[in-house]
Amino acid sequence: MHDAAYYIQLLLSGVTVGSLYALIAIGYTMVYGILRLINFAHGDIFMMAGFFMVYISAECSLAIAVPVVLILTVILGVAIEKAAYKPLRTAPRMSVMISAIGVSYLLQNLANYITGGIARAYPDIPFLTQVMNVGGLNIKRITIVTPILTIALVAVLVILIKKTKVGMAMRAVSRDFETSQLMGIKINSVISMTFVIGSFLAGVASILYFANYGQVSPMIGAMPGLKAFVAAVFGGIGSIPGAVIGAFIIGICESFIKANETIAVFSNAFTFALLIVILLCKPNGLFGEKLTEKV
Amino acid sequence: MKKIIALLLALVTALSLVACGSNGGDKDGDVIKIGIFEPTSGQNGAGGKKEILGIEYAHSLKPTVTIGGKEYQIQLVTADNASDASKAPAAAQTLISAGVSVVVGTYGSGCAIAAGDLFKSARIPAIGTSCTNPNVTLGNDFYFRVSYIDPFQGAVMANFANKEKGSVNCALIIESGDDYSAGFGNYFQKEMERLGGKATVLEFQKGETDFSTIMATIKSAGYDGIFAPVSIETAAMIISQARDSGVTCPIMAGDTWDDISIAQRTGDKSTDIYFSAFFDAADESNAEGKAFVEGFKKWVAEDKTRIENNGGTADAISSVTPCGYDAYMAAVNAIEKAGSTEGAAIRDALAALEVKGLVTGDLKFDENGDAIKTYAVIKTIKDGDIVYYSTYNG
Repeated sequence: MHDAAYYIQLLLSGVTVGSLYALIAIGYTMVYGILRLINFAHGDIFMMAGFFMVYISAECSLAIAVPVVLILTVILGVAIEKAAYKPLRTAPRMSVMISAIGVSYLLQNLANYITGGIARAYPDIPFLTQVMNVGGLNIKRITIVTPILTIALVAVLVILIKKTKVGMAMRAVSRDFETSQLMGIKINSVISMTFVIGSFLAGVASILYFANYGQVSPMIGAMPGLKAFVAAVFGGIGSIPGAVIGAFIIGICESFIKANETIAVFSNAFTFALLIVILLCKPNGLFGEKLTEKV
Repeated sequence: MKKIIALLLALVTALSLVACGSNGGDKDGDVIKIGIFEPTSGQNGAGGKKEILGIEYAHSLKPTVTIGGKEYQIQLVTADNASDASKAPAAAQTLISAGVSVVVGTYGSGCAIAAGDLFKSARIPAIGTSCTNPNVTLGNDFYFRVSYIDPFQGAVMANFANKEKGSVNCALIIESGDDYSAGFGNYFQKEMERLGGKATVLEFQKGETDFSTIMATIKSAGYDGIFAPVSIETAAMIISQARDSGVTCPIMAGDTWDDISIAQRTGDKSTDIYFSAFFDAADESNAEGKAFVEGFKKWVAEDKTRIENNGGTADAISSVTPCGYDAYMAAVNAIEKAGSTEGAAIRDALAALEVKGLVTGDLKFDENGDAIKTYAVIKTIKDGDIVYYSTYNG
């Protein structure tokens, strides 16, 4: 009953949403790879980046606001690591995770307090939100930009990890934390670098996400954060290509489920059912290392 | 050392709680408390804040009440239900524990229904402001309401869509699990079908931000109208995503959309938007309404926080604001009539109450506790502003 344009539209929505999940998922997966910590505050860093943009763009032009927002987001991510995770480096893993949940609630409530709890309009970024008409399809430029940007950033990231010294240090730390420390790798700077990259990507994701949907609210980080987490587990937590592919699969599946009137209400349920199935059948995910430990 | 610090911290926390507790109860002599049960955060936070403004404005005009020849100060106690039915009971409990005599609110039927039983068992009457689902008052002797209800509103909008806009094959966008959305949508659908049209339900889940798939379906299936009884936050996303995906049909909704933030956020994408409302600020024929509009604007302009809570302007008046005002005035009238601070006595007074000349018209409750209303305004968005479109009087 529907024509081809309809299915292309669904696919495009799915790819866009999937790429946004991918950018967030990388933050989860990298931190997990190195610290064996699920950074529950990651979705809220994404939300805070949105609010940074709301407040900063009110004061200055977009050309200045975008880099400033990205820098602030990175600072926030690193500050959280220094304040809430570093003092617990030798503590049991459960303590760090509880600390992460604490940070998540802190950020949500802080945003709630500052904004008064209601959604704020996100500044319009004309370059991203312009609508183009391609062959009878109405496509926002963001729909095209998001996946391309995501894949480009991931490519850069993979090169960084495979070819540079920092990347080598990261790989070493993720393989064996203590031994690499004994070998003279500066653990703390490697960990900071991980948070820099993760927060930067969350910042990019927040600009693309909120420019598309037009508003930021204090609790908005929770759902994309959870979905990205599922994507990271699905792809094999610790693996960057895995997280990206997992995110695309989840995004596209959700898009097609939401379009079907009878099963639309199960779109979230599908994502989390997928998490359960993956954990039962292939706990290491699609591309996960064999020896991942459970948290 | 650590142990001592931990002990000290625990002690300080405990003491501060005790201090909080005693603060409220000291000067109970000539004070009567009215609870404000509204969302100040979450999806309908913007609407809740506007209702609270109405209540506070009414309070500024009438800060005292005479009970048995003695003048009582009215103290407002606010609890945030966060637009979330799962958080509403805790907020209701806060008000009950604070010892309020009567409750005013809320925006959003889901929260009202979730808290209704608590008020009932505490024997504290509640006066609903803009919660329009019939189940709020049905089977609950302690819940009243000053606004019209969804069967009426649904019929008004279905008639409007079908007859005036020629939308006979509507898409019905519903938030699954939300009492307001599902209930209102259902009444719209029934009336639409009675008129020979069709309304197809497209559901989305709470917290959804991406409506592009729903819009693709609407475009592909060729629906000629959208009816979307959803929250304020979702409204802005539905409007802009519909227009971005090239869906050009009229978009219709109910009372929740009478909020200036929707018009502000959607800008020039807000074309062909229609929704029902309780009150029209530009209507000069209603003397009470006119006085309210003038007084309220002046009162809002006095204070920066008020302007911010009113959506950044002192000139716009959402139609939920007069609902807050009317509910407060009904409460004060009932307290005076009951001559008591007892919840049960106030309830009985409310059931028999008749108030003339409130902002949204005369007030009298039917046997369910619903205000008898036959009047609705239909508004539209034009150049980023909410303007009057037509009146329904049945």
